[in-house]
Amino acid sequence: MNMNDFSATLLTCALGAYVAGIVGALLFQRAEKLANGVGFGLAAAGGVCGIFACASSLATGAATASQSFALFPSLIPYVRFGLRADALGCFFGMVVSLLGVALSIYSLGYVRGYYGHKNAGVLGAFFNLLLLATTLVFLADNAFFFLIAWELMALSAYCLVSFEHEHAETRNAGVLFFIMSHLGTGCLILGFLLLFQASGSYGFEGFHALGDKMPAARRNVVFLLFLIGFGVKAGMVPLHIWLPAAHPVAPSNVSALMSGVLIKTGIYGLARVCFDFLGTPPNWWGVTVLTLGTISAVLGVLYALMEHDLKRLLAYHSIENIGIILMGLGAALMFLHSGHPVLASLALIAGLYHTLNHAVFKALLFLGAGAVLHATHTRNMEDLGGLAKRMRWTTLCFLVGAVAISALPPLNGFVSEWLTYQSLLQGFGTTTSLIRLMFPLSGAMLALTGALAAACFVKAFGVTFLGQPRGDHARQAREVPFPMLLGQGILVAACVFLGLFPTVFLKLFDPLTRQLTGQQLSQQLTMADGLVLSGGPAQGGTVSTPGIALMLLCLLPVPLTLWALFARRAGTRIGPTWDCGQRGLTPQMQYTATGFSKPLRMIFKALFRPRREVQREYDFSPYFTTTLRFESHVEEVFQTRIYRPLRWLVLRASRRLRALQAGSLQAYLIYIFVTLLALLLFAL
Amino acid sequence: MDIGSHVITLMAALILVVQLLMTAQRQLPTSIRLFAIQSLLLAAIAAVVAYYHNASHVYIVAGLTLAGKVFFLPWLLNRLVQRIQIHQEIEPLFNAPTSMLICGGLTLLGYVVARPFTSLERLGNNTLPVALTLLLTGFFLMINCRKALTQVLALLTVENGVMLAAVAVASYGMPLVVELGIFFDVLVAVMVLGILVYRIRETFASMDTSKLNQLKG
Amino acid sequence: MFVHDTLLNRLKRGCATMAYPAGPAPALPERHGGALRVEAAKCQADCAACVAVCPTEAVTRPPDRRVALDLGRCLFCAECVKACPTGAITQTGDHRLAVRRREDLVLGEAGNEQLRLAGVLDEKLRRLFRRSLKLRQVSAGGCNACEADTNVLGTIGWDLGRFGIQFVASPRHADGLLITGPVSKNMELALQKTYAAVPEPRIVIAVGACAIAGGPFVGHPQVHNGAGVLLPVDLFIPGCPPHPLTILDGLIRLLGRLEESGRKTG
Repeated sequence: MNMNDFSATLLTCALGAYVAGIVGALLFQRAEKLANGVGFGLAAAGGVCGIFACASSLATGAATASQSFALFPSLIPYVRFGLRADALGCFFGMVVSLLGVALSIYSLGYVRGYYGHKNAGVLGAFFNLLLLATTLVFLADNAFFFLIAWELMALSAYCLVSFEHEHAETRNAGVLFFIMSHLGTGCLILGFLLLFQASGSYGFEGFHALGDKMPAARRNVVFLLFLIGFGVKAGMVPLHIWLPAAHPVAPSNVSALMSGVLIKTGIYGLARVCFDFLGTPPNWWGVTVLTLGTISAVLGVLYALMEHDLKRLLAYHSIENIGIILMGLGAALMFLHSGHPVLASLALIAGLYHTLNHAVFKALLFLGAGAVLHATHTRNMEDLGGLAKRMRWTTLCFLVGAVAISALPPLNGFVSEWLTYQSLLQGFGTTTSLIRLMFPLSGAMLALTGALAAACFVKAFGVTFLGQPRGDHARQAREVPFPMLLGQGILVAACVFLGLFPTVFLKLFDPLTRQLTGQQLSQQLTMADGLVLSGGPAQGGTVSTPGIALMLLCLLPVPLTLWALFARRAGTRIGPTWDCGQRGLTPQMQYTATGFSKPLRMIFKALFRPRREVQREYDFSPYFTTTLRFESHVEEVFQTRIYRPLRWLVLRASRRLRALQAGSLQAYLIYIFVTLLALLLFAL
Repeated sequence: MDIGSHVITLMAALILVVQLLMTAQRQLPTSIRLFAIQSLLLAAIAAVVAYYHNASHVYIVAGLTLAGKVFFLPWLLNRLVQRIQIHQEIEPLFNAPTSMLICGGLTLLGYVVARPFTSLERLGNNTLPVALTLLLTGFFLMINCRKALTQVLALLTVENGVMLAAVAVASYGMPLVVELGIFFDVLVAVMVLGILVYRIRETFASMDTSKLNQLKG
Repeated sequence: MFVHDTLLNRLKRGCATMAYPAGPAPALPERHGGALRVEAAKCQADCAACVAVCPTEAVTRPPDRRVALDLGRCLFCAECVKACPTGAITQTGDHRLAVRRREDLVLGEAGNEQLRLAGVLDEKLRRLFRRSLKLRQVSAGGCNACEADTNVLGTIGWDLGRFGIQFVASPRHADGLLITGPVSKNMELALQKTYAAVPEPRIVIAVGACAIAGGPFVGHPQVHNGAGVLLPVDLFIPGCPPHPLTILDGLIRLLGRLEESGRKTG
C-alpha cells in the first residue's frame, strides 16, 4: 500500500485503542474511577495516535495516492472492511482525533459528576464506540463499510444522547434524533444503490468521477438524495430540528463531540459526493447549497439569540456555522461549474478550514457550558451570573471560545470567515449572468450573521459569567477539577494557533485540494514568509493575524503608560458601583437574557411571532400584586409549519390503513394467501 | 423404474384425494386419521424413492415420517382432542361445495406453476404439482377452518407438501441435516401449538380463533 | 416643508434669551419683596413682636441681646416686616441672596444688616468649573417648588446652558450636587450615596430654606434639618422658593462670571 507504513500502524493503533477502551470501560463498570480512567484514557491515547497518523499522512503528501487496506478479512460477500486514508479522510480524521484527545481529557474530570448515580463505564464505552465509528466513517473505502460505520455512529450517538434517560425531555430528544438520523440514512442507502448501479461495485475508488458517466436526471436524483441524507446529519435547515433537541440533553462531553464531529460527517459526505463522486456539477447544485447554507446561517443565529438555555443556544450556533461551511462548499461548486478551479479551491479551503475551526471552538464552548453545568447544575442562563469571580479559568476559556465564534481577529473564526468572504466576493466576477448576484447577497447575509453572533455571545457570556449571581446555584459555584480545565486549555491553544498561524495549516490543505479540484493553493495564499494570509493572487485582499495580534500587544502599553503617568497624580478613590441611591445592587437589577434579546426579537418579529402572556393576581389593588406569571414564546417555525403537518398527514394515513388490521387471524392468513397466489400468478 | 414411477404417481394421487377429503371433513378425529394416512403415503413415497435410488438417508427420512407423523403426532393430537372434548368443526368460512371448487382451482394452479419444473427426467418428478397443491390447499384450509386444532393440522399438511417437494425434486431429498432440522422444528411447533390451543380453549371457552379478535387494540 | 417653516419661524422669532447678566436683571414681581434688611438699632426694648409671628423661628431675640434674623430659616413671608412697629426689618427688593458660609445668613449684628454675598470659588476650582459646571440635582423630600424654579433656568428665556452649567443624569458625570428639600430620613442614604459617587473635586449647593435649615419642616423627627447636617455645603441660596433670578445670580457669582462692584463679598 502506498500509505505510509508509519501512518497505517498508528491508525490501527488508534482504532485498537478505541476498541480497548470499549472493552475496558465495560469490564470495570463496577469500579467507577477505574472505568473512567481506562475508558477515557484509552480514548485520549487513540486520539493522539489518530492525530499523528492523519497529520503525518497529510504532511508527507502520501495521502494523495493512497490505497486502501483491509482491517480484517470479512466472511460476508460484498462487504470489505477496508480503510482508505486519502486527503479528505485524513483531514477529517485529524479533526475527530484532536477533539477526541481534548474531550477525553475533559471527560476524566466531568464524569466524576456521574459517580454514584449513573454508570460511568457505559458512558466511556459508548464514547469510545462513537469515536471509533466516526473515525471509520471518515476512512471507509466502500459504501457498505461506510454505511455500517454510519449506522454504528448513529446508534452510539443515540445511546449517548439518551444517557440521562430519567428525564422525558431526554428520551424524546433521543427518539427524534434517531428518527431523523434514519430518514437521512434511508436517503443515503438509496443514493449509494444508484451509484452502485452505475458503477458496478461498491468501492469509493470505483465511484470517482462517476457522475460524468451517469445520465443527467439520475445524477441530479443522486445529488438530491445525498444532500438530504447528509443534510440531516449536518443540521441543515430545514432538516435541523433534531439538533437543538439532542445537543442540550446529552452529557456535555458528548454534546461537544456531536457538535464538533458528528455534524461534520455530513459535511464530509457532501464534500466526498460532490467533489469526488459526481464530477463537474451543474450550476443549480452550487446555488442550492449556497442558498441553503445562507438560510441556515441566518436562521440558526436568529434562533440562537432567543434562547436562554446555554446549550441550546450553542446548538443553534452549530446550525449557523454549518450554514457558513455550506456557503463555502456551495460557492466551490459554483466555481467548479464555471471553470474557475483556483477560486473553487479557495472556497473549498474556506469551508473546510471553517469545519476545523468550528469543531475546535464549538467543542471549547460546549466544554465551558459543561463546566458551568457541572458547577451549578443548571443550564438556564437566567439563573446564572457572577461566575467570572468564582470560576476564573472557565470564564477565560469560554471568553476565548466566544471571541473565536464571533469571528473576531486574531482568532481562528476570523481567519476562516475571512477566507469565506474572499471567495464570495471574488465570485462576483466569475460569471456575467444574474446568478452572480448571489455572491454579494450571501456575503451580506454572512456579515449579518457575524454581527448577530457577536451580539448573541455578548448576551451568553455577559449574562452567564458577569454581573451578580441570580440564584443560589450560581452563588455556590466552584471552579471545576483540573482535567476539565486541561481539556478546555488544549482547545484554547488550538484556537489561538489556528488563528495566529493560518499559513502553516494551509499546507495541510494542499493534498486535499489537489485531490478534489486539482489545485494547490498554499503558495498563493501565503505571503511575507507566512505572516500574511492572502485571498488569492489577483483581486484578493490580505490580512495578517499575527500582525494584528502583535499590534494589539504593542498598543497595550500606551494606555498603561498614560495611566501610570497621570493616574498617580489624580489619586484614586474606590467606591461602590453607582446604583441610583438604592440600598444596594441586587441581581434582579441586571439584564436578563430575555430582556437583552428583546430588541432583536422585535426587529425580526415576522419570523419569530413572539407571544407574551402576563397573569397577575392581586387582593385589593393591581398595584400590590400577590402572584405574577410571565410567559414569553417564540414560534418554532419549522416544527409548526412543516413537521407537525407532515406528522399529522402520516398519522392520518396510518389510521386509514389501520382498517386492515382487523384483528382476525383469518384475515391475516387471507392476506398472506392472496399475496402468495398473486406472486405465483405473476411469475407465470 | 417404471413400476416405481407408477407406484409413486398412484400414491401422490391418493395424497391429493386425502387432502381433498380433509377439506370437506367436519369431524376432528377423522381429520386426524386422514392426516395420518397422508403421512403414511408420504413415507411410502420416500421409501420407494430411496429403494430405487439406493439413497439410504432417504430411508431415515421415511422412518422419521412414519414414527413422527403417522404415530406420534396423531396420538398427541388425539389426546388433545380428548382433553378438550370438542369433536366437531364449526361452520367453516366457505361451505363444502365452494371449498371443493376452490381446492380444485388451487390444484389446477399447482399443476400450472409446476409445469416448467417437470421436465426433469427423474423418478417422482410428477409429484411436484401434488406438493404445490398440498401447500396451497393446506393454506386454504388454515383460512377456511376456524378451530385452532384444524389449523394446526392444516399447517402439518403444508409441511407434508414441502417435504414431498423436497423428496421428489431435490437431490433425493434435502441434506439430512436439513431434514432433521425441519422435522424437529415441526415437532416442537406442534407441541407449542398444542399448548396454545389449550390456552385458547381456557380463555375463550372455545377453539374458535376468530374470538381472538377481542384482543385487538 | 416642516423644516422650511421651522427655520423661517426661528429666524423671525430671533433670540429670546434675556440680556442678563450683560444687561439689567429682569424686575422681581410685586409680591416678591427681595432680600431683608435688619437694623437692630431701631428695635424697641423688650419688643418681640417679630419673634411671635415667625413661622419657623427665624427671628430670635434672646433677652438682653439684639434681634437676629437667620435668613437660612426664613420663608420670606414678610410677616415680621408687617409686625415690626419700628421698621427694623425691611425688604430691600434685592434679588441677590446667595452666600458662601452659613453664618453669613444671620443678620442683625452691627455691620451685618445685609448679606455678605457669595464670593468666587478658589482659584483651582474656578479654573476647572468656570466654563463648565455639571450639577446633579437631588430632590431630598421637599415640596418641589425649588426644583421647579431651578428647572425653569433651563428654558430659553434664562438659558443656563450659556454659562456652561448643566444638569446631568448621573453623579458620575457631575462636578457637584444641587440639593433641595429638607433631606428626609428616607432620602438620607440616597443623598449620601450620590455624594460619594461624585468624583472630586466637587461642590455642594443648597437651594431653598429646606435645604439650608429644614424650612417649614424644621424640627420634624423624619427630617434632618437641611443638607448641611450631612454634607459640607459650598453655596447657600435662601428663599422659599428662591426666585430663578436669585438662583442664577448665586450660581454665576460662584463661578466668577458676574462683574460688579460696590458690595462686600465673603
